[in-house]
Amino acid sequence: MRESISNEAPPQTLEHVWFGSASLGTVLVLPRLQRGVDVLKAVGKNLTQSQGIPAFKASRRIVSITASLLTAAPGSALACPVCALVGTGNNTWAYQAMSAMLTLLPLAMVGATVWWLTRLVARADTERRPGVEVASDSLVQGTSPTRRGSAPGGLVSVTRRASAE
Amino acid sequence: MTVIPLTTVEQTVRVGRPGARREVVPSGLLGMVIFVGTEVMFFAGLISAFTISKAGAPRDAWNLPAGQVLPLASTAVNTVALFASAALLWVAGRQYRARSPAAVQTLLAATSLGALFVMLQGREWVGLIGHGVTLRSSALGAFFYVIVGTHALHAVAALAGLGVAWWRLRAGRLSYGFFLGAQTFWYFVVLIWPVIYARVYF
Repeated sequence: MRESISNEAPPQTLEHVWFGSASLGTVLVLPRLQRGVDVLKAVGKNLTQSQGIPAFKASRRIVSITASLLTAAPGSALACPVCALVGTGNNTWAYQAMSAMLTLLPLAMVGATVWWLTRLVARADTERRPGVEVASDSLVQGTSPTRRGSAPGGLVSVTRRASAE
Repeated sequence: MTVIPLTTVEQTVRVGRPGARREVVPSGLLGMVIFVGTEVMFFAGLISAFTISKAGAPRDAWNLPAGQVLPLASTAVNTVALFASAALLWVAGRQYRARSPAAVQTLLAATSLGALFVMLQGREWVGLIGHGVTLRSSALGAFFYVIVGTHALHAVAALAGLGVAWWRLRAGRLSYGFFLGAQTFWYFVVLIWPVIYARVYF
């Protein structure tokens, strides 16, 4: 027995927008994936292996388009229970501020770590120059794999020798 | 003309390891920095959830039961102990680098102050639970115990690291990389606390 299909438009809540978008993605992607499988099956019969590869490219393009459509969906992703509270009170500012914090904080931390490592490498490069002594407060003091010493000094301060020809 | 072969430079940089690569940053420290980064995001998530929930909740629904308030003053004293611990750890680091034997006592004092912080926090919790403030008593109670409790767990773990560092330092077996790792983790515990205190207690 076939199900009756109502022509009445469903109420537009956030959940409907979200799941509606997901359904749209399913409708767009699944037939193309099926076609991709068909092409792959054909590879073993008549086509060369290189002719089967575009099936993957087409699928990837469809996935990209679908992902773009999903991001354009006018609604929140409802990724967490707290996000469902958006707009229910005076917390829109909090939602936006915390979203900004959670976006910028990891970027700032990664940037700071890269900057810190770059600085350490630059300092190490400076110290590698002939005649330059290793700084006594270097971070790598006492970290020689051959000596796990009780006190800093695994890397001792040395003036590099220059072999003269 | 003076020519400096690369191998000669490498050999003299790391004594005893001919031709070894030079370590720019101890692996222990780098690993701890990455770990601390993930922990920062963990606490950022908790504080974000707390902030959004608090901003969206009705004023009456957010208060603790029976008119209870969070202990602001005694927690401020705990905070002073925590910061004093961080300052002592910084001094201990300088003494350790200078190979001063006083580093052992300073590190012990820093660890003891950190332990005092955790114990005072535990005493506050006992008082709050006695007054009916539990995980299920209100939304604020739930957030309070989860956020502050998670911080306390981190503090205990960091104290364990400092304790191991102290033990190894006393025995003359402490590596600089381990010390830096333990120090970094404790600094993280100390620096995240004012954010939690300002956000949750006020």
